Amino acid sequence: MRRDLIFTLAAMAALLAAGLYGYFGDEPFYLTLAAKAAIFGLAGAGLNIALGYGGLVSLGHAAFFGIGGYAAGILASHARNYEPLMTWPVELAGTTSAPVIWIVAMLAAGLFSLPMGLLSLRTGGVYFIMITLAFAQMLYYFAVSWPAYGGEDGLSFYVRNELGGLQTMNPWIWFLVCYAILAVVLVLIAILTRSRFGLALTMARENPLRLANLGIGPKRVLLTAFVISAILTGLAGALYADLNRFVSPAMLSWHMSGEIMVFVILGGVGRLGGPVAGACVFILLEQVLGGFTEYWQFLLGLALIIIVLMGSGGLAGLFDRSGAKKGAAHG
Amino acid sequence: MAEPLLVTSGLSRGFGALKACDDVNLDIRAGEIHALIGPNGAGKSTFVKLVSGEIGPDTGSIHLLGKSVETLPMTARAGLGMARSFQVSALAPSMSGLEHVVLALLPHEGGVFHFLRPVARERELRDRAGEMLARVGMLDRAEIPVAGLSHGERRQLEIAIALALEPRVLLLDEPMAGMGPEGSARLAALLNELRGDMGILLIEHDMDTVFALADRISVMVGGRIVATGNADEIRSDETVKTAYLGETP
Ligand SMILES: Nc1ncnc2c1ncn2[C@@H]1O[C@H](COP(=O)(O)OP(=O)(O)OP(=O)(O)O)[C@@H](O)[C@H]1O
Ligand SMILES: [Mg+2]
Repeated sequence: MRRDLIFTLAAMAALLAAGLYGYFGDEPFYLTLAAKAAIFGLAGAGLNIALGYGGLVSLGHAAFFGIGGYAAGILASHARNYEPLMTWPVELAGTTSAPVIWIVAMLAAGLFSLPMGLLSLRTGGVYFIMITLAFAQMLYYFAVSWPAYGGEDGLSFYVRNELGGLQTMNPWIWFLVCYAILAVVLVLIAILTRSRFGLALTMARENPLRLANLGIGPKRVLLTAFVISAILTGLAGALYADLNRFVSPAMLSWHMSGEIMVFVILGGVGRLGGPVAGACVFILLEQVLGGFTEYWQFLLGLALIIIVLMGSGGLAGLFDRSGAKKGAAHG
Repeated sequence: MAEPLLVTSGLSRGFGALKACDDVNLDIRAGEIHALIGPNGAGKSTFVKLVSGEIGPDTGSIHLLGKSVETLPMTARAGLGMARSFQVSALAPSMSGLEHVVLALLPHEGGVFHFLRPVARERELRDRAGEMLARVGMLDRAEIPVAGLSHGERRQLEIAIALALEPRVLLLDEPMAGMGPEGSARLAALLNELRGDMGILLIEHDMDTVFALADRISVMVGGRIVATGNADEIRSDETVKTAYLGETP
């Protein structure tokens, strides 16, 4: 628990340092990268609730990321065209208010995760992976073939959505917004894992038979975790759409699901700060290795295999072991 | 006489050609310890799995407190007052013993769907969990993750968890195996104490313990109950002698 906290603070400090470097060095590009890392970290933190705390290997989290993104894109584009979203049974207008968009994104992702979770939780192991993947792919092909919102080409909306009087187009401000949301969510997750629900979730992961024997249904617990997980990844999707002022089916593709999973595994499965560290290192590698070779993802794959073979734990595991060694050396 | 807490009739379950439980009629009365003995592979654990709902029967019925429960899921049977200890400890390695017992208390205390309040601050629950752990003699090891507990300590924790459920019917599958003589003696004393509050099914291989504790004993061989009676009746039963106690007449 203590080491988990220190690791999380370290990852968050590193991300803040990257942002500060961009701000004081007057490098908006770095600020955008740092904001992207915060958003990916948030998406990974969402997945981590299912994957890390619930032991649910979901390869469909791009669905929630994309739903969040499209919620932002669709609402904003309607507001700017002055075309109502629908006229029947009630007239609903679009909006450029970020908080409203965030709430809609979270609701939409949470709603979609319900049938997806219900169905995939009836199975386990590989089938769980396949069903979550199938749901996300279904949504991907739907987005590609649905012309109303750009189809394959995606949907651009030029200006970021509005948050109070903040200058959201300012990269520094936008980074701070994303960073603050990430920080709040991590605090909430820390609280959740220490709650009654967190206890039940741990048992649902490590020994579902025992949980059922206590009179607590493991599936209900896991479904709840899956929905919370989807809601957070959906929020990340809305922020990502605003970051790029663009959404496309790519946000829904299985590559995206895989990437979110990489953030978690790279950083440390079931570790609070793991996805943040994973997302930071992922983006760093993408920038550094991507400059040398187009095949950087191959190298990333190698690095991942090594991490998994090293007994997992990811970056958080490495951090623990280095701390343990030092502790031993100091007696 | 009052109706028994648990009654099974004609309970059968096969695995392929093997009849692991074959037409089992057994009942557990309030306030008794009913021992179930039998050689390895007799079907004792299968019987416990059937009654608790881990697996379903091929045929037969199970009545718990007068309700037919054979189609109810495990969680519902637990809710009606059935608790069970596992022959092979079923615990969460990363959780402490105290957390296990607190979790077991939660269904009666407002459930687990509370997301904000830290369990560490639920003083009253932790105190009660501590009492359960003290009763099985592992209060001093309460905060250690299960991964760091010895085999015997895990057995003790199994009992503490079952107690926390305040069951009417308690199914104990070889609870003393691996406990050591001191732990076994303490558990025997504890079961004696609990006898008044609930009905207990005790699976146990050690005959001295069984004869000392049990009000009634059922003997299972090859999936069938071959005899039921008190200690004296079982000791002198010819079928039991030949089939199980290994004496030739
Ligand atoms: N899931 C299963 N699939 C196939 N066979 C099984 C299964 N579970 C139990 N059996 C078989 O059923 C028989 C009864 O097993 P069970 O575990 O109930 O015996 P037991 O009386 O508890 O034995 P022990 O004293 O060794 O614990 C054994 O022959 C066992 O191999
Ligand atoms: Mg057995």
